[in-house]
Order: sequence, then C-alpha cells, then structure tokens
Amino acid sequence: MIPGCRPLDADLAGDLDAVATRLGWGGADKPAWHGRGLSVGVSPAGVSARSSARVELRPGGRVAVLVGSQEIGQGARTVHAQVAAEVLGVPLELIDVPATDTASTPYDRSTGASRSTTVAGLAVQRAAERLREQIVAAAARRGVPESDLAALAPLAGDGSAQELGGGSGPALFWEVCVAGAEVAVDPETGRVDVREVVTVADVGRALNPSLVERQDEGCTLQVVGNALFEEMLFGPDGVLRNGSLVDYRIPTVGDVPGRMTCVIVENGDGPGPFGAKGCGEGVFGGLTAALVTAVTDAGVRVPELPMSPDRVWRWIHAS
Amino acid sequence: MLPDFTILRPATLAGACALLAEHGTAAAAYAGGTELLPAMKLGDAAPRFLVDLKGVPGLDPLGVHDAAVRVGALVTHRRLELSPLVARTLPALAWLERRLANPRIRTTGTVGGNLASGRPHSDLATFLIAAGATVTCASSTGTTRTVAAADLTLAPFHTALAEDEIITAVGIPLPPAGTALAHQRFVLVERPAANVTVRLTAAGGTVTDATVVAGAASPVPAALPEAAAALIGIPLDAGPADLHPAGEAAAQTLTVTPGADEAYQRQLVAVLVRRAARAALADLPA
Ligand SMILES: Cc1cc2nc3c(=O)[nH]c(=O)nc-3n(C[C@H](O)[C@H](O)[C@H](O)COP(=O)(O)OP(=O)(O)OC[C@H]3O[C@@H](n4cnc5c(N)ncnc54)[C@H](O)[C@@H]3O)c2cc1C
Repeated sequence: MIPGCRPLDADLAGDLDAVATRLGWGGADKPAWHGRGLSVGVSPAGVSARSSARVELRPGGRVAVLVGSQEIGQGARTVHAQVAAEVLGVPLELIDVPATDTASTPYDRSTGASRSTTVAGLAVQRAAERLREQIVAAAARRGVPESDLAALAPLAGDGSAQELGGGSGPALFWEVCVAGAEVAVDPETGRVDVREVVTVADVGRALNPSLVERQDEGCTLQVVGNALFEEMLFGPDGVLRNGSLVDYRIPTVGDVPGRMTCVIVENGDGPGPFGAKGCGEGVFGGLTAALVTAVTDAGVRVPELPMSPDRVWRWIHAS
Repeated sequence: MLPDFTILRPATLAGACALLAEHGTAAAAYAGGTELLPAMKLGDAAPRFLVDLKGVPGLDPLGVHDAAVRVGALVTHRRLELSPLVARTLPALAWLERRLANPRIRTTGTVGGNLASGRPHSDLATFLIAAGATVTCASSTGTTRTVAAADLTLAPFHTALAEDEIITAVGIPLPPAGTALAHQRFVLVERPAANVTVRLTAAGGTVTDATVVAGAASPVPAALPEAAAALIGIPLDAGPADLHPAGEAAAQTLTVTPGADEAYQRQLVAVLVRRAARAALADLPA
C-alpha cells in the first residue's frame, strides 16, 4: 500500500462477507431508528524489529523463556510459552516464563503496537529453534536420547526478530480488523444502544484463539467508550474539566453490546511465528467507523465523535 | 491526599450531637464516607473532626411503623436494594436502588449521607419528595424534629440541617391501594443527568391524583405541579397523546440548572415524566 512498506496481507473481501453474513445483511427490514454498518480497519503495527529472546534448558530439565515483552493481562507469557513448547515439542507445563530481569533478559524495545506475539514471539521462536539444534547436537555427541532433557542441560539458544527488517515505514506488518455493528437509536433521548458487534480478527494464525477473542472484546468495549461518550472537556482557560473517573466516564459492564461475535480468520499470512499477525487494536479503526455508519444508517447524520446522547438528540433535531 | 483529621467515635446519639455542637464548622458527621472522603481528598472540605455515626445505636432499623416504612439514617443503599420489605411495599424504590451509583457506593453509602449531602442529583431525594416522606433529625438540645423531604434541600449542597443536627431516620408512607409510584433516570456521565418520580392514584379507571417530582436537571429536586395536573383525568390505558401534555408542562416549568444544556435537560425531563407516568399506570390495578 505504501511504497517501501510491507503490503497489506489479508482477505478483505472474505472478511467483509463474514461480517455481513453474521449481521444478516440484506435480510428482513430493520425497524425504525435501527441501523447497520460495517468497515475495514487496518493499523500499522509492530513498529520495530528490535526484539530478542533467549530460551534456556536449565538443570533439572525445565525450560525458561527469557523475553522482555511484558505480561500486562494480554496473555503474552502464555503465548511465549506456547511458542517455545511447540518448537521444542515439550509439554507446556515444562516451560517457565520468568519475570524480566535486565541482568539476564535480552533486550526488547517495548510492549505495545501488537508486538508481543508477532515480533517478540518471533524472537522466541527463533531462540527455541536454536536451542532445539543444540539439544539435537548434544544428544548425538553424548549418546543421550533427545527426550532426556535433564541429562542434556544446561543449554541455551538466542534469537531475534531482526529478519522482519523495517524502519522505512510505519508498519512492520498490518493489523487487520473488519467489523460490523447493529445499533438502535432512541430518538427521544439520543441514546445509541449497540445491539450487536461482529469483529473479524484476520490474524494469520491464532496461536491462542481464546486470547484473540478476548482481545477483540476488550477493544470493542474501548471503542464503545470512544465512539459513544468518552471525551476530554477543556474550559476556556485550557484546564481539563473532567479529569476524574467520576466526571470522565469509561465503559463498564453495563455498556457491553447486546451480542459480541469474534470471527477468527487464519490464512497464515502474517510475518510472526507460524504465520501470526497481531490482533485487538485493529478493532479501533474498523468498529469505530462501523458504529458511525450504523448510526447514519439509522437516520442520523454524524459530524463528530463521540456520539453522546445529547449530541445525537441535537443532530436529529437539526435535520 | 486526605488532610489531617481526628476521628471521634461517640457511643450515643446525644454524644454525637454534642460533638457536632462543640466543634461547629470544624466537624462533620461521618457515615459511609462516599461523599465526604472524596470531597476531602479534592480539597472541597477539610473538617478537622469526623464524628463517626457508625457506632451510634438505633440508626439502622428498617421496618414498618405507623403505616410508614421507617428507614434508619445508617441503612445502606444495598440494604434497601435487597430488602424484601422494600420490594413488596415500595417497588419503585427497590428499582431505583438497584440502579443508583455502583455496587461499591451502594454497599457503603447510606440514606442519611445521601440526603445530608444536598446533592441536586439525588435519586433518593426526588423519590422521597414524591412519596411524601419525612426526615427525622436529632439535635444537641435533645429534641427531635420532623422535616418534609420536600423542605430538606434548600440549594445545591445546602440543606435545612443545623450544624448540630443528625438525620436519624426517614419515614415513607405506605402507598394506599390504588396508588403507584415509578422512578426514571437518565445518566450521561456518572450521576444522573435527570431523574423523575411520578406518583399516581386512580379510581374508576382514571387518574384522580398525581405528583411529579424532577431532580438532577434542576438546582434542587422539586415538584412540578403543572405536569401533575396534566395527568389527572387520564385513563389507565393512556396512550402517548394522553401523556404528552404532562411532559410538555414539565419541560416548560422545570427550573434548569444554570449553565446546563437547557434544551436537552428540558427534553430529558419531558421524556422521563412520560415514561415514569406510563410505568406507574402499568402498576395500578385495572
Ligand atoms: C460515584 C458516585 C455515584 C453516585 N451516584 C448516585 C446516584 O446515581 N443517585 C443518587 O441518588 N446518589 C448517588 N450518589 C450519592 C450516594 O448515594 C451518596 O454518596 C451516599 O449515599 C452518601 O452516604 P454516606 O454514608 O457515604 O455519606 P458520607 O460521605 O459519610 O456523608 C455525606 C455528607 O452527609 C453528612 N452526613 C452523613 N450522615 C449524616 C446524618 N445521618 N446526619 C447528618 N449528616 C450526615 C456528612 O457530614 C457529609 O457531609 C453517588 C455517589 C458517588 C460517589
């Protein structure tokens, strides 16, 4: 898409079909003040290939994954352990992902931009592959079976995500989310009720499908806040007027859409481990635009965000 | 950060009132602390003495007495929400309490603290005015007085309570047969942007008496008599056209909080009056 940049790898037409089917596109007539919308979101992700990792076979036969990308609730440790287990052909229970220690953990640029699976995960994959080579070589040399990890320890493999290159453009890879929504607008109060959300996570390979779904759900809720009510209000003096959580409302359980469906598409077209791409953040682009088109389809022209009830009511009465 | 303060724990009501009298403006009654402590952290209040009411006996009954539901000042929102008595006798109050604030506030916040704060947004104050409730207060002279809920909040954050007065209980008359209450609220941020309680009495298939109270959109919760008058005579199976005049009257006669989005606030109150009236009608026996 951008000269010098990695092109977009995704089956957008197939993704749009998946959303349309789930939303019942072209089906029965909608009631008044109901609307449907869909949109394609892509976000430049990865930012930098500067991730490195080390996978160690430690005395006693357990495996440690040393990686600097942090666990912040997104499941990074789980996925890094899975990648190492898959490459080494050992059970997940044998793998530890200890807390990062600058004395022993190799360098990683940052946790963000959907890097932990795709970029740091690739470094883990490469490190695990190096360790596997060490295991095979050591087993042959010493006449010990490859499966007798305790006898072969200690060994270690280092890896990095350098092969992803980058640096020339915004995207090490493109994160894709095609999304759709159905809304009902209350013309009396301007309240937008999100009845249904469908997100297509075009992730290349879902290393952990449950985590992919949770990513899309979490981002869906952030989009609901962003699209429908979150706003920083400044006074004429330039001072933030709503700088507390009592005055600045963030989404809560009561704001969860009536139904959320995450469709996982796996075409193996990502640059990360086993063909994975990042996920979650793409929903920002896709779903925000889908909500705007859904409210427009319900009969309200939307000039700006957020589509808060007072504004929606005004837009209805301005036309 | 919380400013420095001393916490005082009186063991009797008289002792609590005496401490409030002794320290005057330097003291504040302290119940759940859900209003008081954030105000202190934000620097909006700096009482040097907190008079903790939680050790004072007799402030937490919940029962029926003299044809009224008596609610002690220390009764939490959560207790009202879950009370079978409230669900049976005042279902609109149970409905309101289920939606008020959030579970943390409901578990800690009390009825007395809600009313004594004098917040324009109080759902409870709006409801109690419509229900014809009374508020009982004790003072350091050893006397008690009873104030109509409608006379409690004088201005935003300003109540009729004297410095040494403590709310002890609220009395909510049991609605007689043929009378129903309904509460509606609309939330934009955290506290309601508008709330409305409608109380209707019917006989012979039509409404014979009505009360409409609106809050949050106005500086203090207050009755809207023109809106109530527009509900009298409407049938139990009233349609949108029957309810429309009450909504319009409410929108026109509401005193809107200065600086608010006036047109939208009036619209919200009109909508809530119609919706609350419809809900109350649905609760009246045919
Ligand atoms: C985030 C948030 C959301 C809320 N949303 C709603 C809502 O949707 N609807 C609604 O109606 N309310 C709402 N509230 C208000 C809530 O109901 C009150 O905060 C709570 O009931 C206060 O009770 P408390 O015991 O914590 O009071 P405290 O914080 O202990 O006291 C509050 C004030 O009352 C005084 N006081 C306390 N008890 C007495 C007494 N017995 N006699 C005399 N003075 C007394 C204190 O000195 C203080 O000035 C909300 C509050 C918060 C913080």
